[in-house]
Amino acid sequence: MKGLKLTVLLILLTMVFGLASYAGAAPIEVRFLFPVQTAGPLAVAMEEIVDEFNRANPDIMVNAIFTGNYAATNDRIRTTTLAGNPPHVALTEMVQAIALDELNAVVDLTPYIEAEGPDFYDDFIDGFWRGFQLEGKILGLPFQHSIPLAYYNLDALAEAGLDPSNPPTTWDETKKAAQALVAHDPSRLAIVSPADAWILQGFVESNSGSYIKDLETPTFNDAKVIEALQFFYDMIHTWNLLHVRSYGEASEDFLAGDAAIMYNSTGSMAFVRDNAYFNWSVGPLPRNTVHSFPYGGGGLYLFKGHSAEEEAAAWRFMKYLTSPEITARWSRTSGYFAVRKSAYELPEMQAYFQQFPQAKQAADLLQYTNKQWILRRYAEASQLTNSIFEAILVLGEKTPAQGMEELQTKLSELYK
Amino acid sequence: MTGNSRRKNLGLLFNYAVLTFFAVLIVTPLFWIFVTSLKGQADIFRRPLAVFPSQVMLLANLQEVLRRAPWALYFKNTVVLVFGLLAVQLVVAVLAAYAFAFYDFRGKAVLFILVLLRLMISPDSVVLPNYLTIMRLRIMDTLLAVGLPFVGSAQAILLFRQAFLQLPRELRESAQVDGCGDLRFLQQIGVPLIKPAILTFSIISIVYQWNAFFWPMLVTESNTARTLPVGLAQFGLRAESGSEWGLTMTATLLVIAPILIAFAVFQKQFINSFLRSGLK
Repeated sequence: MKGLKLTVLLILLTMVFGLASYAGAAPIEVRFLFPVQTAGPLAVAMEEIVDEFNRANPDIMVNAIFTGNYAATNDRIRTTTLAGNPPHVALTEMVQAIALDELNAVVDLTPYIEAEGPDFYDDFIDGFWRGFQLEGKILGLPFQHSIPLAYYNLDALAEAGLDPSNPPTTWDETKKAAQALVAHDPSRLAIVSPADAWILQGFVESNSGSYIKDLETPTFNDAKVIEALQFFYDMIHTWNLLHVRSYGEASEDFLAGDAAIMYNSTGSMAFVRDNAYFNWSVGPLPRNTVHSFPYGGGGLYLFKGHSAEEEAAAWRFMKYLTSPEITARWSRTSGYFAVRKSAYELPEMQAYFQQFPQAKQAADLLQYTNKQWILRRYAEASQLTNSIFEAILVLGEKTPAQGMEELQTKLSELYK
Repeated sequence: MTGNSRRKNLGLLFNYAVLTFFAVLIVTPLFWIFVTSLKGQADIFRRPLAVFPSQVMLLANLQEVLRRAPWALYFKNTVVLVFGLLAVQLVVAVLAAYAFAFYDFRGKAVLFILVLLRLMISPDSVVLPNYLTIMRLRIMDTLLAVGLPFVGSAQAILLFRQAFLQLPRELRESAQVDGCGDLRFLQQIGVPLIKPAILTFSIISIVYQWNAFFWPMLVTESNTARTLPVGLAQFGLRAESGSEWGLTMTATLLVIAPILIAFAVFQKQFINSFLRSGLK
């Protein structure tokens, strides 16, 4: 009898508390997936930024979910979306826009952006929108972007008798500078660089070439593409002036003083800033004809499958993350570019540029950037492309001309 | 006589040489993790690379590592998951293996083939269906969700069945004659006799679950149910920017230390149980 009474009491209590918590307006929950792709306490920094939003917006409760790197995040987005349990917002690569659209997973942001008025759209750095725009839709909001850069160890340049205030800017000058560096100190590598399709796109565009004509028309066998690859190939295999490394290894060689010049993403800049013990600067990738290179990076996607109320709450959070103050703060923490023009005018950003002129040097190069190459069925296309680039540039198994013909044939079959 | 003992000595020398070789092979990476965890970035980027740091940074590294993730919570979750799951796995697998080894029942062959099939399916290929199941059970973001797909371990069932089959049939028959039931037989005779198999599987299971990353990451959203490898992932491994090796190795040390210490402490018991596996 006693046991029964206790049980009834417990059930009643549970019901009362359950109802009470139901009646109090519960904040709208927004699930936000974010990866960390560079070194540094970025996960902690992101959680702080989200906490501040939650405190300022008691009607919304953003749940920031750290999801590893970009690849793990993409796997997770795919699994949860296919299972009908998508996140509200996710930060992932810009080049995923096309795949996410093919999956019919993300909301076209155009109405939201239009509702904010033209000043909102115009305040984003012009180029950054292009990677998210597809067939009249805007599929993502720019958030963390980078470009390929040339990093120079100025002490090493000076030691080799080169002018540190005038690092090489053309292919010819680069070759001569690298030869001078090797002649002065054979134990130090002249140039280290990744040899993937992103870095190489910078060389192709600096030669007025392009990988693609449109989403289904690759142009890898174009003479200008082959010429750019040939230059890179000769730097590696013919003249022995450039050594291929992964992005991380290249940074580590550069910081150890084992390499005088490196080509790497702006994503490495905070790491170099915090660890370099020598004088350094950044500049554009060397050009043959014009300065032009792609930008890459990640943006914020809004997912389908939620109520209008939740979607609106998620959009408020996305707007907050890309506000001038937050994008400026994220830029200083991570090394990525701030995405809003007005962010660069903030006093804290000006002070940062004073302290780290390299960040300003990189921002000044944004005028030369172009959209990252993209094709339909991007996962397959980029895997194919990078494997052939590896066969040419890393393994030296094929000449650029052979490799690009092969790639063009294989890719063309994908889009028949 | 002397020739014989010399040959014996040579044999011993050879044994030690082989053992030393493998010991060095295993200890070197651990040693490198340890010395790297002592270093600051300046020492890591110094050339030529020195083995020992010029300045011991372990405390500073540890402080930074601890700041970046709730390690105590991750540690608690990992321990609960690993040992809780192991206990359930053992109960399920011992009972199943016992039935497969000593009983004849209808559908036994089919069931056994199902167990074998389970071994042939790669765990990665069932991530989506597993995820759907977890979602429908409404247990997302709990340790239960992390462990559930591993409860019925085909590997354990096969291993234990094999071990049971190697026991002499008479052992069970005479126990039965003396009126000993199945559970009592298992408790007092069966399980103690297959202890080596149980230990082998336990080590496999503990190490696997201790290191598991993708699945735990997928079904958890908050820190309340996340495990140690998730903490390790905060350290931009293979990041585009280059890695903070000192911090990464300090965090690694934090994650592997409990397993290393446990092995050092229980080493004798492990080895004894293999030696004393009895009935050969």
